[in-house]
Amino acid sequence: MNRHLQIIPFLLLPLILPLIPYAAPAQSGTLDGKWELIRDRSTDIDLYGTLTVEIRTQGADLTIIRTWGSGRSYRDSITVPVGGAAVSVPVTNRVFPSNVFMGFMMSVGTQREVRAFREGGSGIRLEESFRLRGSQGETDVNAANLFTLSPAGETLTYEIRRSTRTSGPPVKFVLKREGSAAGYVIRLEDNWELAGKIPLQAFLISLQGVANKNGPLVYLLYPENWPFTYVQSVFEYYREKRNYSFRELKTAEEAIGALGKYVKGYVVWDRNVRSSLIVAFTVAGLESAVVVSEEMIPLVEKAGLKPVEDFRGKFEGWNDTKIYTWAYDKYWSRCSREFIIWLGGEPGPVMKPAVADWGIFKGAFFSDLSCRVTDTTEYALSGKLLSEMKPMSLVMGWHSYGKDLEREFVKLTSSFGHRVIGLHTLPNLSFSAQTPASPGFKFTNNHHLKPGVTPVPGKKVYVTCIQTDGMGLGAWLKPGRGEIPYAWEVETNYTWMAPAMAEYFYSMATPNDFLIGCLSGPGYLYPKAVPPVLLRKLIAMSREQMKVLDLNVFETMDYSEGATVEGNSDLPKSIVDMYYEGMPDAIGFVNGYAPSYTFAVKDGRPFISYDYYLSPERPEADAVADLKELARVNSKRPYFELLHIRESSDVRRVKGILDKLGPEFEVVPLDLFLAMAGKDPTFKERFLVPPEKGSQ
Amino acid sequence: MRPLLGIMAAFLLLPWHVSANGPGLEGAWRFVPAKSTDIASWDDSQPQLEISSNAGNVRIVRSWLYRAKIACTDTLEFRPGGDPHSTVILTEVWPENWFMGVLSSPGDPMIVSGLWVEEGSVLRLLVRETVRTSQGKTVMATTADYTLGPDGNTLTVSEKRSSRPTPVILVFERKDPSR
Repeated sequence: MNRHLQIIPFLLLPLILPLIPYAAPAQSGTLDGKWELIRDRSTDIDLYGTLTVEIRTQGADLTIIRTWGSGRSYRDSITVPVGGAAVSVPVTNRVFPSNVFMGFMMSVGTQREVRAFREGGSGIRLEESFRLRGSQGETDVNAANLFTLSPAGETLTYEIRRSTRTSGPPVKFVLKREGSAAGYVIRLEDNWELAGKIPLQAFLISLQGVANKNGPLVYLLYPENWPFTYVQSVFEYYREKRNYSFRELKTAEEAIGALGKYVKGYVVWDRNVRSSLIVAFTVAGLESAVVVSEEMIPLVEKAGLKPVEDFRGKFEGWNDTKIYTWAYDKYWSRCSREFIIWLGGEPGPVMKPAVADWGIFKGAFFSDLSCRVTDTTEYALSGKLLSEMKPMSLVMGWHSYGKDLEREFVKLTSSFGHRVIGLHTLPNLSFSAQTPASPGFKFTNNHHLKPGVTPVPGKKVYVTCIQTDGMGLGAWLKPGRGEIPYAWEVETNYTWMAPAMAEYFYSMATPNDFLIGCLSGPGYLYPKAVPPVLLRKLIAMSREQMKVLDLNVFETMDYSEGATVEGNSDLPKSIVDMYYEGMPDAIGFVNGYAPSYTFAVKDGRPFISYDYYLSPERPEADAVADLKELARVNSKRPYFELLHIRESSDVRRVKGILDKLGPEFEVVPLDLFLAMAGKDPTFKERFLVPPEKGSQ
Repeated sequence: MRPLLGIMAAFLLLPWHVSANGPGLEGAWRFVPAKSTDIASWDDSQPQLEISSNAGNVRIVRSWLYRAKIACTDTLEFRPGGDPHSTVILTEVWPENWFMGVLSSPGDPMIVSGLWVEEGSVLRLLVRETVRTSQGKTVMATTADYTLGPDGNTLTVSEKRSSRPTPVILVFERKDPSR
């Protein structure tokens, strides 16, 4: 098969996926259908607790069935011609269902007068007149019942306006289509020790991955100190903004009871051989199995599951090369060629395998092989796996802190043109990938430049800040966001990998939060290590993702030749030009992590490296002195001082530092900074000069 | 005059550090971060010093350790009270502060001079070096006082850069106090 033809569908995947409509019922867009209450967004229903509404249209007639409560319930069904003709309905039950705890009752034996009207295509008004009995006798009541479909057709708002209730909050119920957006939530403890709770955590994560093959069913609530700080907040977002209802599963027994129907078996890992768990995750994805340690076998047997693999004693005395070679021989042919999991991170007695649900969901191969050249056998196997993936595949997870360095890992993956999406702690992707953005939602960045107006810099020091390591980590939810202009690195694959989560970030952004694309490509890669023919394609892929996300600034980073200290993080002109050509709509580029030294400008579009890295430990007074010193040694004005802020610093701390810089300094949004730097580039053009052939 | 010249020559040839109380500044010095200015080191890299003398010349070798390996080294050599000594910068690394966008400028000179503020215990260095920043080359002048503590085993280096509003204080302890 032509290689390009193989690549094209994969290239298009991120573009196509967001366009696939959410699997809504056939009746979406009309009010007809069954609707269930979203309790958290509705007026409290005292006795009955809940409400369902069913709306049917037949010819000119409209039937509305309101059922208050579930077990003990009150059903009220009315059929009315639409258009204002009154229908008399005899009152046969004294219950006043929306407020049982108030001393009201319907007057049995009287008549309700009901009229129905359509309000455009998305509303129904049901007018009722009836007699209501209180302690002092009967009174006439008029009630308008307003049923309004949300613009996206996902929710129905039912509001009751009674003539007798003239103050206080409106009586309003929000309902969603019956059976839609219903999931489970499981809270995970903060214990990731192999000798502790890892058997339970691994079981639950594998159960999530398997169950979510059937839709977005399971969301895991990681502890508050989880590196991705948004877990709880995004959960609330799904509930409050995306109409999810979650049933909490509190124990492993409850979890397997509710979700066991999606599971085809179990695989036993060996608590004496850590890597057996990593191989077990591979098996879990291929066989739709859960991973269990020995003590958990009775639990899954009781649930009716059968073993699909048992690694107890299997790998004893084997090194990782031998274990993963065995796994390769046995499973590789069935594994994904587009996704592979590096389940690294903390080594030894701890494991934090949050990304495993995604690997199971995708049927990926798992390992934590070393990418260090001197670890010859593991390195060779890493290379073999990566070489057999499709070009531009996604390497999810992270390198093992006990085996190699981030730069060794990303250099090797980049050399095959693959893209890394970190970390091993990345949670809930199997859920998020299946939860689209709201219908019609448009990603809109907070741009600060006015079309056709090029800002002219003054004789000042312009400072701008970018947080490291993406929005999901660090300071987004910490104090100070929005108080100063600040730029945030966006994982552009969220367009298809977690679209609703991207919406969550975008809809929270303040005017001071400016979002940028990263990191060297659609995923993390080192451009100097990527074969040029693939780099062009990767840049093109980033360009398309940036369009969807309304981003016009892109960030590069390259530690393939070492870091700032003992190597260089600079780029040669040929690669800088590739970004300029591949991203014609970008207004500028930023480069580095710690300070870097590549600078250029082309048609008013600057390519600027970081001039300062603010570590979370740097004392404020020293950081202030550093920034002032940089402004002394860069004596021309304007001076453009680009700061990279470690994600574990919160914005308030950064503001505290910037506030002490004095009147010569001005903190500006990144897009304004780049426009001014492009207009008056006082930095000197500088590229990495590749060593001549034959030289050391 | 000859005897006087001979005495002076003999004095200059003697190791400058020699004193009745110990080795003076000479020796190997280990960095003490807890007593020093935060030095913005990357991944806990640490400076160390080797100070020696030969025929009246002082030699200070500054090494920066990164993951237990020497990431960069520079050597300052001069005669206290003598003419400025010029050496060529060999490496791009400007180790003083790795979080700032400043590089050394290989091929350009580093000019070092020094004098005793207090003979045997306080040595002042004057260093002029070319550095590169995003705006190009500039000259940075640093005055550094090397002060031996009363116990002879502590060395405090106070660096005042022409470009920096506050001094950088580096405290070292002798690696081998028994010397």
